[in-house]
Amino acid sequence: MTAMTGADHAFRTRRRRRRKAADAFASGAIIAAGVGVIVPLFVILLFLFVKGLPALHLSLFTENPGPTGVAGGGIKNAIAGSILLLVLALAIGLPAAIATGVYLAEYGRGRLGFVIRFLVDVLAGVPSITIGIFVYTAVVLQMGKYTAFAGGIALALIMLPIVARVTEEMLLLVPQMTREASYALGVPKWRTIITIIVPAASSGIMTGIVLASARVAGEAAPLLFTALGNNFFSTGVFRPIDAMPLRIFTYATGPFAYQHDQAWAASFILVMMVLVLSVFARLLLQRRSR
Amino acid sequence: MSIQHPPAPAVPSPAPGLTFEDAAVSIEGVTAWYGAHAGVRDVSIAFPARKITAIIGPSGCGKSTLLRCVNRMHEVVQGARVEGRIIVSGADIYAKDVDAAEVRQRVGMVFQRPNPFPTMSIWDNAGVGARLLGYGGRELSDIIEQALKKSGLWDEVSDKLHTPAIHLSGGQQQRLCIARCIAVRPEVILMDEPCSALDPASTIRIEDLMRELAQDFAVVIVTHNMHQAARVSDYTAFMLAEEGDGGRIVEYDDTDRIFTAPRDPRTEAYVTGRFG
Repeated sequence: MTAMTGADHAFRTRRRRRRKAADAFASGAIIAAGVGVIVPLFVILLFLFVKGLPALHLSLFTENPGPTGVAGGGIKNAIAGSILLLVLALAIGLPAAIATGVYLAEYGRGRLGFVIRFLVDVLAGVPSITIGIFVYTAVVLQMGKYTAFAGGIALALIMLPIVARVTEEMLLLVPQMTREASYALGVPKWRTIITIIVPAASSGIMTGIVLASARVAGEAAPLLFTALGNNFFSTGVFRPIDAMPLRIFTYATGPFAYQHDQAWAASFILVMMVLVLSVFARLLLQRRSR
Repeated sequence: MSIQHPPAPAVPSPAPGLTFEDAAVSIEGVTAWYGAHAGVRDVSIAFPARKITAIIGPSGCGKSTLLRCVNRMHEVVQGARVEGRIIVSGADIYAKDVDAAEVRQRVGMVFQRPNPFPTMSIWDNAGVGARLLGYGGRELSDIIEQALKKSGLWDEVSDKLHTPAIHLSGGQQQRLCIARCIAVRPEVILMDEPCSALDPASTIRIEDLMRELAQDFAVVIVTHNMHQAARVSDYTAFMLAEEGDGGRIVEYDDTDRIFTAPRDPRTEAYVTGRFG
């Protein structure tokens, strides 16, 4: 190896400058792309604040919709309806979703597990309007009426693949070492799953449940011909019920200015509800990783 | 609840070396498979009650696999199976109608890395096995306290029994795992390199604990630390695997004899540090 000449130095300096320039360019491009992604979110939030905040009144929470065309009234029925629909969806969907996740993680190593995992992924990709039509045919037509129950089933079907796959992934994160520790104590497999594995993964599973809840809370399409919507306050499981997305859809396409204002306010409330749920989910996840 | 078993018959061990009048575990012609590959090949050996037996050998010689056959943990691995018989207290644990979970209650295991249950307190960790066996209330509390005292952990943790077990040091966690194991009241305790993740001071504590445990239990320890085997064990088995085949027992004898006057040149080469 010979010593470096002056020409070598000049060459290396040029190369170093080029590398630095390329690095600066790439970093800038990546930052711009990152900012570009969150710009729409901020525009949406800005619109919601500008349009929704002025229309936000306490009466929205305490009053039901008034007669069409008469300004005033609230969306109490829609808020209550969304909450009831969510509770129904959780009650119907969670047992099946978690059981599916446990099956996939703990038993689904073979061909059947592969098929079920694939079908769960397919279900996750089915458009929500299609799920609405399916529930309309399978439940609404059979019962002869639109019901909150049917809406709950539709939302449960949307939640199911999300919660099932999150449950599976969270269970697989529990180290094999922990399973073996339990087996070695003479604890049977099913009991190991219930008393050791699922509790160890519980905060991750909870996070998945909250995120799935946030996702379905904003769904209008599957409710259009299942829960139908309702201008009156109802908590009847077997009656039509209102929901926030339905109310927003109705008002946003309505002819009156007060309806548009209330649609903005309702959107604002809905986004805040989803935001709170998401933050809650993040906090759960942080507690897990601590 | 206590499981009563008939006294173990005297089983001759066809392994090179020892037979025992009161064998706690008798392994007879065991071959352990991972799919088409044998991890342990045709091993016969007996472990005595109330003694410490060490299994030594180079990496990949099948010593851990052999240990995991004794509490039927080997079959937890997908595609793994066991041929041959293993008699624990007079009964073949691989007989058709025997439940693996029941075997594991009689044959406890301590693992290489401390593995307390992450979501549970010290107290719950120590008691979980006994609780799932049906113990409760005062009886369970007594079992947990005794197990923690026996494992030498009680004085260190009695003021924080309900804090998470993962906040303990590695050595304390390992002693908690031993407490959890003896709370189930097994007959045999298997230890798979129980000190390899611990510092020297913790290692000495665990070794002292092993000697105490050997007053009540048959203790079988797998270790790649020859000094540890020499320090703690009464008997030592040396295992070796030929290239591409499962491990076999080369020599099994009093620990002193294995380390001072081995019969087999391969044993001598290993214990004097010439390979492995």
